[in-house]
Amino acid sequence: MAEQGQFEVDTLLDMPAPGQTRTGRAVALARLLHQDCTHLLDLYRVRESLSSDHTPAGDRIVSLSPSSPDLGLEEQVQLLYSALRMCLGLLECLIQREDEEMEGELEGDYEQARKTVRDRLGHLLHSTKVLLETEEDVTPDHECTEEVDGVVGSFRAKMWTYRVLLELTHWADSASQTLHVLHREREGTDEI
Amino acid sequence: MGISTYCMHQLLFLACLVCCLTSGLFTTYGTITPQSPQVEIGKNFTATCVLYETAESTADDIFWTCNGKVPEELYTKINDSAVSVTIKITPDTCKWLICNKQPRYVNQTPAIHGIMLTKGYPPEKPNNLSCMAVQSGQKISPILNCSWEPGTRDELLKTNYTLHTSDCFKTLSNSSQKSIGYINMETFPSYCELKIWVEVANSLGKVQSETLTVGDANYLVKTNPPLNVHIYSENNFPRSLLVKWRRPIEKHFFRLKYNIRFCAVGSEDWSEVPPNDTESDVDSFRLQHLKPYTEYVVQVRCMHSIGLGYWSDWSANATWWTPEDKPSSQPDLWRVVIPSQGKSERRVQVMCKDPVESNGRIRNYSIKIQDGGRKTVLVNRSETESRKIIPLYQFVLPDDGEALIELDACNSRGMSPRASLTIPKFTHEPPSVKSLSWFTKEGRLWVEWVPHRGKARDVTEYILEWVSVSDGALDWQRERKNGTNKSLAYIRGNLEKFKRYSISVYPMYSGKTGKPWTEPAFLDQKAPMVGPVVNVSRCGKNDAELRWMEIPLDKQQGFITNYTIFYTMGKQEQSITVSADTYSYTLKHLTSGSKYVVRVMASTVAGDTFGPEYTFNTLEYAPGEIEGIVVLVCLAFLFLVVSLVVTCILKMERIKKKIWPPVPDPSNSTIANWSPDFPSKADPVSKENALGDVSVVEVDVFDGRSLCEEDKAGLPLKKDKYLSEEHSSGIGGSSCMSSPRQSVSDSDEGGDSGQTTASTVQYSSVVASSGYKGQTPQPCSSQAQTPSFARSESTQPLLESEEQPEGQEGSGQPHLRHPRNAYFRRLPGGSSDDDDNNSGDPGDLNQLEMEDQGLTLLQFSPLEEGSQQTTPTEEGQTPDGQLDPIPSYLPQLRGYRPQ
Repeated sequence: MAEQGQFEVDTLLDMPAPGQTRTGRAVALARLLHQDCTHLLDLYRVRESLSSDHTPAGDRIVSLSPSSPDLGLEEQVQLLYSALRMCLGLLECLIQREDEEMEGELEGDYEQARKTVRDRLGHLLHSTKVLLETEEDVTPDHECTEEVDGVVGSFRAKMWTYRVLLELTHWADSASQTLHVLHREREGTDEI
Repeated sequence: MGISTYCMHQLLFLACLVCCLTSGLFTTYGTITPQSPQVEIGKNFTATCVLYETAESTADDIFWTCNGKVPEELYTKINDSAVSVTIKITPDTCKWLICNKQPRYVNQTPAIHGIMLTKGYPPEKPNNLSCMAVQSGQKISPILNCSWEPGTRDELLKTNYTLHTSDCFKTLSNSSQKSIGYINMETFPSYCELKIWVEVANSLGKVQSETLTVGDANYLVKTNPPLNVHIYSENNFPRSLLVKWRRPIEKHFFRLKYNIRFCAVGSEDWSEVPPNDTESDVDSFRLQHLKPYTEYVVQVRCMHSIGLGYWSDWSANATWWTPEDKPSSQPDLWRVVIPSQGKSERRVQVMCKDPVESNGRIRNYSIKIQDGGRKTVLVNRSETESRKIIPLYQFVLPDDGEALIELDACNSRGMSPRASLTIPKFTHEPPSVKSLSWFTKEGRLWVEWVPHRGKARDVTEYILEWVSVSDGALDWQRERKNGTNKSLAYIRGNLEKFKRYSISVYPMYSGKTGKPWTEPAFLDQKAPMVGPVVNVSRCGKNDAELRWMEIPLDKQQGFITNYTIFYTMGKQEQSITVSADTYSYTLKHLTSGSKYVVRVMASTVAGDTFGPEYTFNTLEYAPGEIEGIVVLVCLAFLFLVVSLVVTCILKMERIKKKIWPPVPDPSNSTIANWSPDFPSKADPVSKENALGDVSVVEVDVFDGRSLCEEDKAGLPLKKDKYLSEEHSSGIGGSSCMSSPRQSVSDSDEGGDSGQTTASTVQYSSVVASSGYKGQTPQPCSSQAQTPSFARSESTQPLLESEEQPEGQEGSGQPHLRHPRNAYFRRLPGGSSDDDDNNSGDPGDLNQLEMEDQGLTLLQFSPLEEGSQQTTPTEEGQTPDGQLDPIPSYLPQLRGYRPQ
């Protein structure tokens, strides 16, 4: 699935890049976020020596599905927005937990990429909010109460982190596609 | 514990302060509000002074000072204890504003309170804010660098600049410098709207710049230049190159557009690919319409495809050659014709340069001369030597012959179009251009020529040729015909400054060369490298001819405009300027016998150079002058000699008489007295000196008593050998006035002198009587005081024939001759008669002089001076010692005083 997602991203990147309209910038931002998430996931795999074939067990953490055919495009974007807020909450929890685990160790590429994904996700949330013209807050929507009762540094915690990163990658990819559909819907063309 | 101690200290301090105030240590009379204000220049400022009761004054006693008393019309009385003042703040306003009261008594301090005015301006609004984020690694740097133009006024107050950014996620700020600042946004907000502004604040206010709003923060990005720029050529496309590169940043960030520029190596004229061709986000481009076999340089840059933001820097140079193609233009064919001296033929050197569009490396040339066979000239050279002059062929062409030269250039892809050149007959060369001139402008040598009036239409092109005079290097270029108007072109070759070139323009008549017009030229001029070496070829008394050689052409470094001759004598320097074609000059009006230093200065329009100094001396005499003087002197001397000789010849008799006066015949002589005054009239001084001490002995031939006894006693004096000055005397040789002559009287040698002289005839005897060796002249007669002279008068000279009988007679008649004076020297061989004869000279009294030594007895010698000192034994003495009785007629050496 990851390879397929990567292929889709590359296909999209080969397309003319949007950038002039709000939807176009949101699509580009989602693509950039997906690139950052993929990079972060790669860094984590390298750091934890995880194979790219390895898929952690368990259901999706963010179970919202914007691709339901019964939902309209605006609703799908709304769902996407919610999912991204949850992703941001998860990432905040992840950062918090890993920072506690690191206890003042120097910041490396992974930590820097992690911060970049967080900021980029915040940018995407803001852009999506503008597209939705909603007053809903862009703050993280997660309490960091789940999956945190394990032993710090334990395999379970790492798997949780891995799942969160996969979830981020997935929703970033989903966002780029959904927003691109929105862009095409609103602007009438792929090239903006 | 620590905090409580600190509080205790503070309480103690406050208590002390209150005590001091209440105890009157610090008496305050009032205060001013506001305290320590920061006032704005250009605006009014109001301060109020409030009196305390301790001031014991009213508001009427208040006055303000600010570098002098503030005018009272600016005061406003608020109440009985408060007065305000309003002043306009200027840059020159005082620093201290003081409230004063009128003193009640002397030495009372009038000041109540004072405040310090801190002047300044409110902050100015920054303008032209711009920001940039550069690429860092594979991402965009989160650090946003901004710059702006601050206000132009002096910041008299402390001013703070703060840079603010606000993206869709968060707002950040950072203190900045006056005109630049940066913000680290941690993650660059790509695709987010970004607002940036600068806030400037000081104590007088706060102001912020216009907000820079960008719909996409990526518009502020300056990426790295494109990576890995490579060029590829394809053999089948000799005029095309394919350029490939790699984008510097991932596509996720933004699309890029590109700029491509290229030029041939060595050229700085960049050609740019039209921007529309590279707007799409591509990574390769094919350059077309290039020159075959040319090395090109390509550079690429990029920026956001929207066109906002910043272009990246140009990429590093990428160079490559376009493939070869067959030459598309003719080779540049030319010749040099050198006339042969003494022969009616010319030597022709054929040369060429590669075709301008050689489209490859020329491997060989194929040349054909007139009807001869085609010859191939191989070209071996490196890649960098293209367009060099290649000498191809040399042949001899008669003056009445014409030659057609044909040339093809070949490279690996084919043969060029054929070039041809015709060398006409020497006498049938087409005419040259009408005129030629040149000038320099902006470092180039421009040549201008006017075509021949009648043949201008037949001219197809012109050859502009230049030859370096110093090394003979030759080059040429072809110029198009500009109708019948004058043509102008600059020499495109690498001319060197300060070198002399011969510039020629050849009109070409359909490949046939015309006569050239040649002019010398310089690209730039300066002073000659060396000065003229001067020397003096001829130097006279008042002039000198200078000569110097022309400065070698390769050292002139410009056209010689003139020469200046400087010549110096001592400290006086003079100069003469002569024309450039003068190589000798004659300096005139020089001072004879003087040292001159001369040097010659050569001048060009750009400077002067002195030659070495040369020193020469002018002659003391002009040539021939000395010879002339010598000749004149010799002639004068010769004339004098001749005159003397002639005079002597003409006046021989007179001279003879002067030298040998006629001797009177003693037989006819009589004694006569003469006045001694006679000679004294002529020379009284000599009389006194000479005659004053002369004792005159009375001569009495017949009376032996005439010689006083004292004189006789003095005769033995002659026995003494002493040197005396011999005086010849006209009076029997007894005079002391004769010429001085060192001699020893021979008469003194013999004791028989008295006896000998006793038989001689004594005409007269003069004895100098001034004291000599104790001799005291005695008045032997009354005439001793008045000397008188007695002499014999004779008008007949004594002849030998006459003397001898007399001698014989004398021997027989001793009474006739009495020895009167032993002072007379007896001449060798001479008898008394001889002596008489010898002394028969009347004597010249003018020679009668007395020496200081007194009386000197002299002998009368008829011989010359040299022979007078000879002893008798040598000539006049016989071998048996007897004197040779040779009669002699003895001349007197000197004349005698007229008697």
